[in-house]
Amino acid sequence: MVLLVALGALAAVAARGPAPASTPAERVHAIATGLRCPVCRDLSVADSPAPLARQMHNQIAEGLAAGKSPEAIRQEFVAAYGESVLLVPARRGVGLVAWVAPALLLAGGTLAAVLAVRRWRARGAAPAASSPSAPGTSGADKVLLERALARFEEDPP
Amino acid sequence: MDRLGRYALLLALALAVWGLLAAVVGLRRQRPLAIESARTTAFALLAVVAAANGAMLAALLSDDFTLRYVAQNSSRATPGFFKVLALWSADDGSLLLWNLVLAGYLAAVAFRFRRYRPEALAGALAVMYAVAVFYLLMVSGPSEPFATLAAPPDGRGPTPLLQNHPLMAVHPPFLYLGFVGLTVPFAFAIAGLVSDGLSDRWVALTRRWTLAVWCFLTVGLLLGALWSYSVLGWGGYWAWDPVENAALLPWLVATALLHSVMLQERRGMLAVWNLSLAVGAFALATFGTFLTRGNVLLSVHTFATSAVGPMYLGFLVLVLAGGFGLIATRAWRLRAPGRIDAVLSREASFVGNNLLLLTLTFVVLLGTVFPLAVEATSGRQVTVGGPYFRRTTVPLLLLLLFLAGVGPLLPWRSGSAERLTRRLRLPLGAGAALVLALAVGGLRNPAAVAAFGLATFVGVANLAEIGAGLRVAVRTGSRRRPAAALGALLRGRRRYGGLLVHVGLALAALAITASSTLARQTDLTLSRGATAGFAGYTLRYEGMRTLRQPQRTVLVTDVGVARDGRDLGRMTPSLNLYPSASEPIGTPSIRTSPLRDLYASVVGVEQEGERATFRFFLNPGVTWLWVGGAVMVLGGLLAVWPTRRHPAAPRPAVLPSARRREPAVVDRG
Repeated sequence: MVLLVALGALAAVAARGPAPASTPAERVHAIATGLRCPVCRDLSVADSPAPLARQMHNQIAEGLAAGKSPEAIRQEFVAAYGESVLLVPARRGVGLVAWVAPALLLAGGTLAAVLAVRRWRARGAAPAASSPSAPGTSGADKVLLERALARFEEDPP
Repeated sequence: MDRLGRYALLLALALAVWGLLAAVVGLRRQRPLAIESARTTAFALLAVVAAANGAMLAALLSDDFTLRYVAQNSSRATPGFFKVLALWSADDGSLLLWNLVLAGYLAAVAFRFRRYRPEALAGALAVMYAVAVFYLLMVSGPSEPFATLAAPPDGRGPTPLLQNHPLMAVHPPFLYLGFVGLTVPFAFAIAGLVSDGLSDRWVALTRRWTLAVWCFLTVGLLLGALWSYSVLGWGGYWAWDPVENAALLPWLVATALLHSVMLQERRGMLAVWNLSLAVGAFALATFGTFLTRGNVLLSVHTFATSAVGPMYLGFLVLVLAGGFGLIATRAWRLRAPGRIDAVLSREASFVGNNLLLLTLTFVVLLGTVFPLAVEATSGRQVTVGGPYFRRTTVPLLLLLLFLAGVGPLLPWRSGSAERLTRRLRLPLGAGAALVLALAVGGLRNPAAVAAFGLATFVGVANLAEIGAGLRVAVRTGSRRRPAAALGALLRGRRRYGGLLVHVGLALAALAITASSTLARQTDLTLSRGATAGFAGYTLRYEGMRTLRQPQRTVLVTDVGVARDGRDLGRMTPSLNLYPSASEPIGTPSIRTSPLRDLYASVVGVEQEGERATFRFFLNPGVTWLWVGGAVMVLGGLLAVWPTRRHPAAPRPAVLPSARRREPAVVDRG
């Protein structure tokens, strides 16, 4: 249980994303990884070797040096290239769906799995007690055993 | 050549239709002769489809530019090796190869079940022939590989990116072997569903097929990553490109299926769930091809463009509606009373594994189709890229990694917390020691620290399991040590193979964490003779050479590398100028070592090579991604290797040996 809580906390930390950048170069890089290079479909400004990407990289560095906030710099690029320049969907409007759906699914799936395991366990407890003939083997086990044996019989040589 | 190819494809279509009809008649009327005809037709189909592929190959090699495909994807100057590769470097040709692989699987199934005929064979053949009919229709209508034109004097040559590296020779064929191979479990699952007996035997019949297919998919994904790393020059190997995602999706579902079928084999549980996974994996493989060929999106893989989208979409809808419709209407009768004895059990860990893998599949699928869905509904353009996928998948991957370490230590049925703690001591200790060392060493990224610790935990836990099992075999065996250990390894190949896959996974996870969180990069513009420092290396630009090759011109820049005053030789990142491409295409130069790769690409040259701009990367640990991947595939191969049953051996002897195969509970107390 303790282990599970620790794991949950860990996953939550991981979901929050990378640690805040400290050096100027790291801060530029952090913004550049979140922007799409407009001339190459799926690379970020940080990854792309295209001239435009390098120009954008310099623009970020200049903006930061001039004291602009990362969000302001991002908005400048959105104004210039449109919303699709952001590599991550916005956390509002339609974009919110992309963020909420995975969490909802994981929560729902976990709930379903926990319920299923509990039901399977409850079912396991009852017949095990009511089979005095062979301790440890329930009726369901016998069915499984017979099925397995039958399979060996019909398996190919 | 075009006639031969076209007639071969028409004949193949006729054969596939015949096979489909014969299999359906054999199934419905119980005619063994019809089933036999459907079975043997598979070999003829393979021969004819191979002839069509051969015709295309001959046309490519003989520069027959009357074929549109050859004119567009090859040229006189293209080296012979890349002429062969041109067979699958564009849509129409790769569909030919796709058909060949599918016919190959049909023939393999027909051969495998030549003597032993399971009840599901007729149904499975019918499903496979139906799929073959679809793909053969595709190459004789919407996609026309053998279309002709007035021959131009020379062809255009393959897409430059695709003729830039020999890895293109193996990456697509392996992926096709994986994608198409998912037809086999799908076909047997459907066959079981439609049969009167409504059997769930497909799980036992196709387990090894699914494993083999999983190996192919893994190799295909790895080669794709390796190609991206050594050709594209951006210093990475996985860009969360939609096409990469499309290949990852079936792999995730196939991995889930390989785990959850064990619950069905052992405990008779999850019959309906497993059917859904088999249908889902096949549907996602189809979806992937639809995404790449249907011209739905533009990406690095834009060379796949043709007008076959609507047909794919129709086929996909048919697969989904048919598959899940059958499951909904018939499979409920397969439901068995599931039973789990304890939460601390292998069974429960498999449930967790499936939950996480399926959530991952959903997240990747959502991120991939989200921009398309938003654009289709609201006309707005949004991008879902690497940062989104990293943010959403990393927590799930970490939890999955944890299960890959704990799951194999848990016994079937019911484990005791005390025994688990004892077996967890060594791996948890190793993981914790690494975490502590990294924290003291100043690594501040919590997700990275956690990933390093968990990967170490998984590696040590699974290695210790293998070691413990082999030690027992050596101690109790009468033979000499290596022989006894090897014997035990081979006897328990299913179990040890699985553990080995987890060890490989741990290595790959270490490599991915290291390279994605500790990498460094810099852009340097150097004049000839100038030096600059980067990450402890001294880099000296020595000048540019021009190589003229028949199909391209290569600008090679020479960069001398030294570290601590010691000369380490030269790196030669280059730019390739192809007549058919407006932009130069780079070829990076990589100095690989076990701990880190120094990676250089040249971004641009000025003044005839007097000045050049480079991008250098220091990528720690990437080598271990390839090593880990190779170990995973090795583990898969170990598990898939057939168990030889001696026909002479008395039948009942099989049962105890099957049980002996898992020394799951190695009691060392």
